[in-house]
Amino acid sequence: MTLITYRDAVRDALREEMHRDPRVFIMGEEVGVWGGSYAVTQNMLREFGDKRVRDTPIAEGIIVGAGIGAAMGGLRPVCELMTVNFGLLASDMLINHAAKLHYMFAGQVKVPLVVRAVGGSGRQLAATHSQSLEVLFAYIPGLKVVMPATPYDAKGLLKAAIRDDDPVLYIEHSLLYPIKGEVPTGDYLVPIGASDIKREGKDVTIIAWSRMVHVALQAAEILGREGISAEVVDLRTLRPLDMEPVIRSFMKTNHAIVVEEDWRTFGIGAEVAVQIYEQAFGYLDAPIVRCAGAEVPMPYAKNLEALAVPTAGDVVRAAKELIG
Amino acid sequence: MSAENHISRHEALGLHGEDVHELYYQMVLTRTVDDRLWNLNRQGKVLAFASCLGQEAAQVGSAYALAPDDWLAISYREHGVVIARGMSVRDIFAYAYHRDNDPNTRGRQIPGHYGSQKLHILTASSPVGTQLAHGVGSAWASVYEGKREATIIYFGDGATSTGDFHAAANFAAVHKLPVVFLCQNNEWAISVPNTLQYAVKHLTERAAGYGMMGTLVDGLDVIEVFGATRAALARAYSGEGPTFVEAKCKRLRSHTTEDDDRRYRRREDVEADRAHDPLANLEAYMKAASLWDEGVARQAGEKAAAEVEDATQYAEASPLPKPSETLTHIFAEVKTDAHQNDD
Ligand SMILES: Cc1ncc(C[n+]2csc(CCOP(=O)(O)OP(=O)(O)O)c2C)c(N)n1
Ligand SMILES: [Mg+2]
Repeated sequence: MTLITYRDAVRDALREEMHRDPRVFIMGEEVGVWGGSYAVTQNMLREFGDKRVRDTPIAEGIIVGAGIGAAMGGLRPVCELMTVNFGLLASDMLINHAAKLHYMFAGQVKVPLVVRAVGGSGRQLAATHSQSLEVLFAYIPGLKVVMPATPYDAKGLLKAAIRDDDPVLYIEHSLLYPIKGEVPTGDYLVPIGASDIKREGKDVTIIAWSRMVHVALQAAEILGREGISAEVVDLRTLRPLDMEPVIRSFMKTNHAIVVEEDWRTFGIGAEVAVQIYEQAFGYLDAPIVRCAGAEVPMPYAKNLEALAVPTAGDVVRAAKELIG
Repeated sequence: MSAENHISRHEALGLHGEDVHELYYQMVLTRTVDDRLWNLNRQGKVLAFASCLGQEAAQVGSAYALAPDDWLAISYREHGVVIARGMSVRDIFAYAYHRDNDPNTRGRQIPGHYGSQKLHILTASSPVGTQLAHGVGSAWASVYEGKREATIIYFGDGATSTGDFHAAANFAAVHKLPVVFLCQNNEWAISVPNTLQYAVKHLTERAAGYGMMGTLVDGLDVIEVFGATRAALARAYSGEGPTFVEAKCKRLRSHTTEDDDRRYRRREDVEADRAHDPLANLEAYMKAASLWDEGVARQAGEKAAAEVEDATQYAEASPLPKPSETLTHIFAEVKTDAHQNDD
């Protein structure tokens, strides 16, 4: 095991996969000399050359669209979008094409494409650069959506995504890049479509993904000191959504809180909650609680931005009310 | 043009009399297929599809120039392209009837959106212009793997207004990709005339703006289309980058079976357009080049009619897609139980 940052975990996954498989290449805006807008591809141009680390013109639709064509042509492109917000400019390519071609052409073609993008808020980048848009893409059958919370998962899931034969949208959180965690020294994969228990507990199940896993863990720590034992489930993948560990946990705790950075209405928490209702109604001791983003285009001012995103304090308060 | 000129045109391109006969047959077949599909639509047997009547020369002539390894990114109107590429008429009809034995999409797409890995036909796009992005990506893959392959991208005049067109043209030019942008300018985008799509005289004027070569051709002339496409392919193979080919042609029917062009076109104009018939054009060429006799025409017509009749019966007798397969191929591999890997 070595202790590395989330950023290094993503980069190591890319580098290892590029060394393993010559068909893997990177394209996107600023990925070359600049090294990626969040420094993920730093030094990779020097290591792999400009055939495999390719700066493109500024056109998200073509980055993903050409990625689709290259993937159908037998390559394994990793396309980088500077942020998931700009992914909206490529949403036709992701939703109307990448997600559907394998199905519409009856399995004839595969689209082994990875689209990496940064999502989430917390850097005072305001409304058009701070969104959690995962629900838009997780809604689409045929598209896999992965959102790692730790360096271990970031590396293992990205390697799995690159080896996966389906299109995968891999969303990183900008505030997670500096966090550190243990990763194995050798090659390993984290399966796509498998949720993970990040902390065991017995009184309440807290469900989260991406950065909110850390908020949930922080809350669980505080609750633990106050005698409430919280179990934290990290969804890791939003489609395919693995509810089994959530349901198993809920059957034990009979209480659930979903912590989500995205907006509450129509958000992922709504889906998670309804699946718990459907699959474990008899185990319900209280309504499921959502700690979600405020329904507002993200404000710029630091104090206002902080108010728009769930905090550990919000989760602790919710848990205490719930367990009461 | 004199007969001498005609002869020198196909021979100058290295085409033999047999090639011209083959081009003629493929165009006749395309038209026969198109006519039959249109009639079947009116009988309620085949749902919405886009006719390529009037565009046979642009389609067959360009596809005929391709090498087997080249790739095609197409739109929804390219029946002549897939015929020239070698798709069987049976497969075309099994698709139109959305049957289980259709190798294209097996009941999963609207008729006419062909896709065949075997024939190197990428998945046809229905959102206008999107195949341009896929096509440049396919060309990228060829270059990346050091293969001597080009990708030809088919699209209409309307598609040149999209962001994808601009982005793809620029991307291909910047990276010098082996792409042939083949625009079939049929003067219409549904009911909108091309005067409302662009303000230049010819779309080829735009090519310079991307730093690529532009070639304007008479899309009613199959030999000319063939020649321009082959020259563009030669540039592509030798690393000179993309070429924009504009083939001016006519759309001789409504946009699709679901459209009625009487709402926006004067009948005299439609009648006048009918005089611009690529098949009649080729017939005249063949006569002048002494490649024509009534037997050729009759044989081609009979053979095409027989193929289409056979394919219609084949499709009618074929089974519908199995309901049990409705949910197959959503993902490439079916994950059974993620937790088995985990423990
Ligand atoms: C992105 C998108 N916008 C609108 C449409 C509706 N639409 C279908 S065909 C068409 C016209 C396309 O014209 P052109 O590119 O000239 O091709 P043609 O149909 O003439 O072959 C339009 C607007 C669409 N399919 N996709
Ligand atoms: Mg048109």
